[in-house]
Amino acid sequence: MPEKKTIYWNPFLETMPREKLVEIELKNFRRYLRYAREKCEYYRAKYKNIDPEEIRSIEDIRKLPIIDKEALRLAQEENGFGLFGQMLGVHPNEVTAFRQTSGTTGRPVYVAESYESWQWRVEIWCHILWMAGFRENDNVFVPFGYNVYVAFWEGHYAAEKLGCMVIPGGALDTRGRIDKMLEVKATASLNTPTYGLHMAESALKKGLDPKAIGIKRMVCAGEPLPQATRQRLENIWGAEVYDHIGGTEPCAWGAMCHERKGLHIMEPYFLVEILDMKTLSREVEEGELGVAVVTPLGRHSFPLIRFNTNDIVRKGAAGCLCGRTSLTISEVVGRADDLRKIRGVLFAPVSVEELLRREFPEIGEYEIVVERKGLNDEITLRLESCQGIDSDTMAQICAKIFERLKTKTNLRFNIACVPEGKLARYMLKSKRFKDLRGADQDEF
Amino acid sequence: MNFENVDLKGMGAAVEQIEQLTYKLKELGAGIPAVEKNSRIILSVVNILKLGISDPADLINQ
Repeated sequence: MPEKKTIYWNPFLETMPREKLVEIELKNFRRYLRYAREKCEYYRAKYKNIDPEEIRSIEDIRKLPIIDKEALRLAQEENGFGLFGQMLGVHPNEVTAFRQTSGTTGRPVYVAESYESWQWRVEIWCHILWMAGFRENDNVFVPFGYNVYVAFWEGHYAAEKLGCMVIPGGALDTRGRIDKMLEVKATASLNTPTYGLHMAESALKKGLDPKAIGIKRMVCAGEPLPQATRQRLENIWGAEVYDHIGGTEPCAWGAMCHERKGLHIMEPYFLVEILDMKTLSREVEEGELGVAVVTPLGRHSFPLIRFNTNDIVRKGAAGCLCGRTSLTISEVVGRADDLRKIRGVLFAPVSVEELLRREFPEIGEYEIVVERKGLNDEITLRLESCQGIDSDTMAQICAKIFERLKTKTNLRFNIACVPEGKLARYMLKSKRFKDLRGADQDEF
Repeated sequence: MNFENVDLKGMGAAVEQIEQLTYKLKELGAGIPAVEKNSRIILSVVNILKLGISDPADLINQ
């Protein structure tokens, strides 16, 4: 009899030799391509001259076209194909749930789920939560109304499948949620990083140390989680904090194990290519940055083949001290559509978050605003102190931040202090970066 | 944990049997919502087991 306790959700897949993983992925890719061509109008037209049986290697896959979010939007606007346009991969009567993307970069994409496809997504999330140490004795608090956004639904159903007790905390304000977490003795939570920090801030204002709430594990979703923010969350909550990467269209495709050093790609459920950012034609080497192009091999209701996620990641090694053999990514840098050229310099907003969370614990909320004044770009960082510190000390901190930002980003920021509580607080995706330059900005 | 002692091939065969039995149940209960809908739910979970158990078992069988 096998031992009952294991760190793996599915030891056969998670510790499988790499060549076997690749073999399964290629087999599943052919099967998925056949399915998409047969059942989905979009692929029927787009791939009519491609024979799935001719796909024998990753190099063969590389010859297939890449699809992006804009293509999905266009395919959904085609007349005569119903709510989900040409992207639907099942009969409309088989659709059991409607989800949509957040619409951050344009018109939201509608995503159809059949019961079968939903179970596939839930299974992926079981892997994520199990890797993060969620077990049947956990009381999992989810401090959101999930609405049409997918991540917390997935986490909710997966935690139930693991046997956890799930407490949906939607119809409450932040103070009410903290009280409820104490009342039900919550041991784990699923939240955005921003809201994790905000709940901690609210608890402290109430005179309650967040550690006393009893959360031991936290899985973050919905936003990038720089290492410094993750560590700040761990320190303030006294909990293990886990990241993952994914999106509404393909599902979550990478997640953190207990080593918490980078993310494991969820093989063989996904075929993930990390391609050079300029041509999207070459797999980058270990340590290089690239764009993740993802094929979710079980999404039948909404087939996606070679979907450009726009996520910029650093390719890591295969394997890990945890024993999993999957490929890894060592860093999530951000989304390609978040990168901006400012005064000719390529700027990633997440670099400011990383600096503030790592080096300046006195700073709470912040906001970055880019404007065009005359012919010049101006970038302003608005900062809120979180500890009620005096104005002289704050001025010294601002001067330090100015210098550190200049070194880190090659940009000279205007630094503006605002009173505590002045900046917006966010529950779901935060909007701390505002580019007000309009359409005439430099192209990335 | 040593997984070499686990009967993966046997598990793969059991998944196959569950699938066949569920199709049979669905056929026998055709027109009865309680049978048809619950059979569909069983098959959704069988699909997950096929990906997670039967696929690796097939590799061993080769």
